[in-house]
Amino acid sequence: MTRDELNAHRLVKEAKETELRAFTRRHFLKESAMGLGAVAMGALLGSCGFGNKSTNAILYDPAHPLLPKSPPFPGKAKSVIYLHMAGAPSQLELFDYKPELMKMDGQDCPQSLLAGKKFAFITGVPKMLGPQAKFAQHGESRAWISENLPHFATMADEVSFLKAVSTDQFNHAPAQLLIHTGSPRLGRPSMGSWATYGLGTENQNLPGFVVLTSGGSFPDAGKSIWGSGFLPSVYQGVQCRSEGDPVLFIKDPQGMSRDLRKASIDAINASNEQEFATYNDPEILSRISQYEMAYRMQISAPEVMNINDEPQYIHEMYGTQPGRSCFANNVLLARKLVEKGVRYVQLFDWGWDAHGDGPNNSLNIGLKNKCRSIDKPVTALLLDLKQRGLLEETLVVWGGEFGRTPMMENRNGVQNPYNGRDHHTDAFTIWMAGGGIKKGATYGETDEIGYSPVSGKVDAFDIQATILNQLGFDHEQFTYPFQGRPFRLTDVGGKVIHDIIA
Amino acid sequence: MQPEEDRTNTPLQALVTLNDAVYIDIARYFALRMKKNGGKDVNNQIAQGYQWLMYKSIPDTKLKILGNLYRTALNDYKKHPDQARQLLGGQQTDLHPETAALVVVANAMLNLDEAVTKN
Repeated sequence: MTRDELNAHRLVKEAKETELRAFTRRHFLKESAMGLGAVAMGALLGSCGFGNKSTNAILYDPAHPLLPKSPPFPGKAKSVIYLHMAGAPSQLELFDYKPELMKMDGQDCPQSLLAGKKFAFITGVPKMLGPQAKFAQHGESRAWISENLPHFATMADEVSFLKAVSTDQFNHAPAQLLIHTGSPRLGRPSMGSWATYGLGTENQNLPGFVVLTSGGSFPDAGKSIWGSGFLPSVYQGVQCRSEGDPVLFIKDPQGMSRDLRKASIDAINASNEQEFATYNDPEILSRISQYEMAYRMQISAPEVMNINDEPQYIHEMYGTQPGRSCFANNVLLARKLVEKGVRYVQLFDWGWDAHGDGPNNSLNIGLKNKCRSIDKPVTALLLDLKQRGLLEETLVVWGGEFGRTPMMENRNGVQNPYNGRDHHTDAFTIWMAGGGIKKGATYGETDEIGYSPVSGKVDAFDIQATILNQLGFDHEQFTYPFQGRPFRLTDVGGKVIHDIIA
Repeated sequence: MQPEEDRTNTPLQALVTLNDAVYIDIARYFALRMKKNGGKDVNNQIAQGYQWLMYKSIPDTKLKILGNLYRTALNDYKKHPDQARQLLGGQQTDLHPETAALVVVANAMLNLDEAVTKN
């Protein structure tokens, strides 16, 4: 089949699905007006040759939605580990060294920096706040890394820093959604969902997209941040636990043998196949494959997700705390999962929101503690992936959802009791490593107080475009048709950041 | 376009409705009700249970699938009556292998797409 034929075939299939949906009882009332309209619209657009170019050739096979697929071009990265520091770590205490800012420490913020700007909390005229950590240059790349990350400093020559990342969202939830789904509002598929939709996954006994959280709270954006949006729900992230059973209810009920459990899942799926034959709702096929996955996970997950079998030196390297729920355990688990062929592992670590309104939210206490909890594990992850020969094919991304202001936060015009910084949208740092990313590179630069980008400014779409590029996708071609038009992760933005690609 | 809730259709959800003690307990009492009020023949019991669950009669193909599951489970529990007692734990009045097999069927019925999907 040529690409055009494939597209035509897909359009027809889709129109039929939409039509069926409109006629089935379960969808009639809800969607008939929209559904029939979309069919007509799709036919109209199709006959104009509209949409053919951007409709992606990947066919979703509902019966085998997670089988591994080749990307459109050979990608350097096979899998992704995304380490998201929820709350937004301060670039000014970690990577973006600004001695000039120290000279302004304690002075009133110049009006020129405040004119026309809106902040989450700062009102009136805040004081400038110099770097609250000592910096040194590391490695042959001479990258500036602060004393807060002494272990990670030894990795300077493995990573590419993006120093001038910007966003247009100054609240946590929308900013997190923007980074991971390409929209600050709910409803779009997350990056892990796109990746598993496009590539499937290598290990059919585990979910293709696993989510692990630490820090005591979920990210503000909630579970939608690993949702599948309009993609089939089989691609949504599967959240696992790093303490106790990897997932709840993984054990069979007392008195039900594994064979009986298998027999009953087979019966459920056989019945659901009958249901699909009647209603043709592809979500029923998703359910069938999820029940199969549930069964396979019952067998394989307890072993794969058990970090206790790892040798002692690995535990020491990562700084794990077996039996507890913590970032270090999740990072080690992430490596195990990627090693086993999981496509996309998303970590969220909560607690990086250093406003200065309390000790745990301050740059001098809270941030340092958070850094201590990630420094060893993140470093160990890079080293461990490298020693296993996995770093070249695993893209590791570290970052938050925005940056912090060079000003000290003055909530409601009153200076906070501890040193802290407000949310800042214009400039922050994200780094990437492995998966075909340059080693020991820096791209982008901020002004002398770290307030605005002066070169190499990138945004969430550029980061997404780059991640997709490393996985073997042209982000402009990688689309999914929804509501009568092709949608993509990067919406209408995004440029691959070639300067950090090896 | 109406706002729409994200659907939940994950293996984690499947594990809850398959294995959570609450769902097993529901299956136990659902099975007891089918046995008590669903007629003598196990096929009648399953058909009646489906009627209660879905307000419609069970298609023949599904009745056959669930009937086969019942017989598989019954063979198993006749060989392992201790397992039957474990599955029926909690209530003490009816610990027969037949009842345990019906709990397996009830648990499967509560996991059918039509039972977990809001129509």
